Amino acid sequence: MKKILVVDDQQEIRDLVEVTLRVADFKIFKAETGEKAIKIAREEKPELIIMDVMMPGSIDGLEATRQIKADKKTRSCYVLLLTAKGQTDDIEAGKDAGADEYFVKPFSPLELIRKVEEILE
Amino acid sequence: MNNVLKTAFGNNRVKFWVTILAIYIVIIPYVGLKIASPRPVNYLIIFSVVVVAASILSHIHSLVLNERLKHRVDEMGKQADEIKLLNDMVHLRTAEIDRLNLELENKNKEHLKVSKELREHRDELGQLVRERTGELEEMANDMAENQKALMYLVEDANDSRLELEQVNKKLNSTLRDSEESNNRINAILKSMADGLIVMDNDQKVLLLNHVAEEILNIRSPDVVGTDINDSINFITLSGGKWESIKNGDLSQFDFELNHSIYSAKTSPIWDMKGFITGMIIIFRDVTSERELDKAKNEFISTSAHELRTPLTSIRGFSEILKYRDDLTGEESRKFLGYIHSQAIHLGNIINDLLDLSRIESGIGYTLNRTDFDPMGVIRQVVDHFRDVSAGFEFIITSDGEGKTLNADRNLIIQALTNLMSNAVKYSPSGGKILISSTFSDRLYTLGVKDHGMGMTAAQQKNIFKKFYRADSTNTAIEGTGLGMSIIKNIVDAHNGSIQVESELDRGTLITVTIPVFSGPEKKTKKKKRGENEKNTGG
Repeated sequence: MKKILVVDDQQEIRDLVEVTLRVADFKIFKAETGEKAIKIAREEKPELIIMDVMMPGSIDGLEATRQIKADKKTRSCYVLLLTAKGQTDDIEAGKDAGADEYFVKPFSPLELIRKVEEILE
Repeated sequence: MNNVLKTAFGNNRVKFWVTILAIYIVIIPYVGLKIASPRPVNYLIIFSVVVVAASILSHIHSLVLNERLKHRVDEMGKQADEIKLLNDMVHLRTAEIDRLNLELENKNKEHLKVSKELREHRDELGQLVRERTGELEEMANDMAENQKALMYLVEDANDSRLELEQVNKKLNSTLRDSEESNNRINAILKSMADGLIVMDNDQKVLLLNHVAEEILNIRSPDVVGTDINDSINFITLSGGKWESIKNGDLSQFDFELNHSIYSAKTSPIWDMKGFITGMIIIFRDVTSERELDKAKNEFISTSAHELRTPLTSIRGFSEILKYRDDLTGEESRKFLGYIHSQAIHLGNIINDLLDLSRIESGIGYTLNRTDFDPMGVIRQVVDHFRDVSAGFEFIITSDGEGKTLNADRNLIIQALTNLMSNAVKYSPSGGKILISSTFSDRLYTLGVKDHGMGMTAAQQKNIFKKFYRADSTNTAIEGTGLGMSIIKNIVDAHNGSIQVESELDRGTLITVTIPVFSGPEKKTKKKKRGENEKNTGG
């Protein structure tokens, strides 16, 4: 069973992504901060991390991505940034941090599940 | 002549006496002989003596005569000399007379000639005089004519002179006007609120106003007339773009000086013939504008984010509800609750944006006053926050129920919602939020106290500025940065006041005080705000 880590500071969005992914057979982990996301990534080595960018605390989504991609253990995790910051500069910043894909909020759950299945095939 | 005659006469007398003497000598011997001795040899001696005596006598006589003659000749010679002298004098005189005669003759001739010439001249003159007289007559006629013409001309000239005087007056007045306007223009240039530098084509500074002196920290007398490149370092100020600016390729640039940002604009000076004679540089402090620009850009970016967040829930959950049939009833209700509250949140954001445009355009609020119990409003708003904000404890304190406040109910709801929203936003670790409602004689006080991150003194100063967010680097804190300025506008419309007490890492207390009863309002025009849905979900 493939593992997916969902990182977002908002409960609603975590719920939304979780219920969206429920149609397929994934093991879902959830984190509401960057620190927690890095910790779970090291422990579980999920195939996919769906990461929010703007999160409170010292480690936002970009910094969490950077650290995950810098760590040998977690480097292979596919990072999909899911964020409301959809301007060109933001996308560039995400790519620089090492993110593999970018998905802009608001999003269609149907499109998201299609994207996730495509990534994990 | 007498001398000549005397000499001749004397000579004759001598000759006479000599002859007598000779006869005597001859007779005497002869006689003597005849008497004394009649021998022949005596006779011969006596004769010879007589002859020798006669010869000596004759010689003496001739000597005397010769002497006399010589004397006479000398006299005659003298006379001849005298005569010659006289003659010479006569000759000289004659020559002089001749010369004088000649001269006289010449003079005479000359005189004649001159006389002739004079005559000729006289004739010529006469002719001339006649001619001139004729001419003069003609001229006199002409002059008479001319005088007439001149009279007209003088009249015309008088008219022209009057016109000229008027023109002159006008010119003088124009000149005065021009001087005045010149002074005025100079005064305007000098007192412009923007920095101003005028330079000619040779880059020489012609004018510098007071503001420019202040900004660049230079004095006009030190700079005017100098090369701008030497006196004002626009090369550095323009960040190396000075060449393009001088060429006219670039007409705008920013420069930083003493921690302020200045925007400079250049424009060429055209003369009446269409030639460029120099350049004007105008610059002003745009630090606050740039800050506002930055805040606006951040606002647009955050607004987009703010709008996207509720939309994500609305779109996502509605799509799930529409297409999925594996949801439990509880899940469906939960998701509908999300959609509903996010729709309200979206509405509030839009109201904030509308309020912003209201604030921006200076319209202000028109109050729709009603009498209501503020506790009802407080409970409604707080209940909503209890629903959506986990980890918080909301405590309401009130000095009693049933008291009424005369105010715009919807605006009070909006103000309290913003106060609560800020309290929650800036308390990331949750905690107690205290809401107090107090009536005094004439004033009503509403307070919201959190135990969040608080603000520095500098941050407190800026909280009423549009788009200001106490910590804009903290991107996780939602908000358009309009909340506090909207609250202030609502309170101002009610003639109230706001107090801010805050301590970093300890929390913030915002207290709003407004009159219990309506007093004079800034805007009294009634306007329906019924369509303004401020449903807080309570």
